[in-house]
Amino acid sequence: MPIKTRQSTKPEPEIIITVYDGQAHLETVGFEGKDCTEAVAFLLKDAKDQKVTFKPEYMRNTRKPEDRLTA
Amino acid sequence: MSHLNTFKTDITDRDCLVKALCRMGFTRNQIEVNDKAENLRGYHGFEGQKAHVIIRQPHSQIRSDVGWEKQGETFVGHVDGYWGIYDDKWNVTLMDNYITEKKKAELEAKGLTVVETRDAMNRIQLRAKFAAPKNTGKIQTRS
Repeated sequence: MPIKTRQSTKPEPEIIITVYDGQAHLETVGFEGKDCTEAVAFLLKDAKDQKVTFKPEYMRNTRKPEDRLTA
Repeated sequence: MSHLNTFKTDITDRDCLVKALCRMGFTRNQIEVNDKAENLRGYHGFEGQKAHVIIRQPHSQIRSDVGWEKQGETFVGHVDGYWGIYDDKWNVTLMDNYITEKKKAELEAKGLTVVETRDAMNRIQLRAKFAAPKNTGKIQTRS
């Protein structure tokens, strides 16, 4: 019989743009692989003329979400 | 010799530039917006520069006007940095405010609700939520 462990605390997908040094620094939270790429593409579509840096989610979280659930 | 320094910027959107200047403390009626570039008054009167977006003396708080002129796709700034107000730090802060307004406008145009906050280092932060994915709240099970 399956045992319930814990409910996922996956955050609601969100784009966070922090602005400093005359640049927009983009982060995504709560997206999964392809969704994240689509979200970033969606956001950057009109931003060819602007300085935008993007920090992928996996670079902020050294552990994968699955690891956190089982840790 | 002109006292106004001319420099390139990454600014492309006039409305967002005006909003950024308002965020820097100018009131909307202190900012002159022209469809055709108008003469700027420098320390010695007209010194050859023109601009579409202008803060006239005395609102500029220095002995000359400051302005931004559209040249092609982007604006160039004409600013007298001698008086210690419109220095590099001021220009970076203007760009921060410009980018904030530009990004906010872009996200809202795409139907997202944007919340402006500050992070722990007091930097401007825009947060836009997307629709929750299908697997949110999924209960993890272990046999």
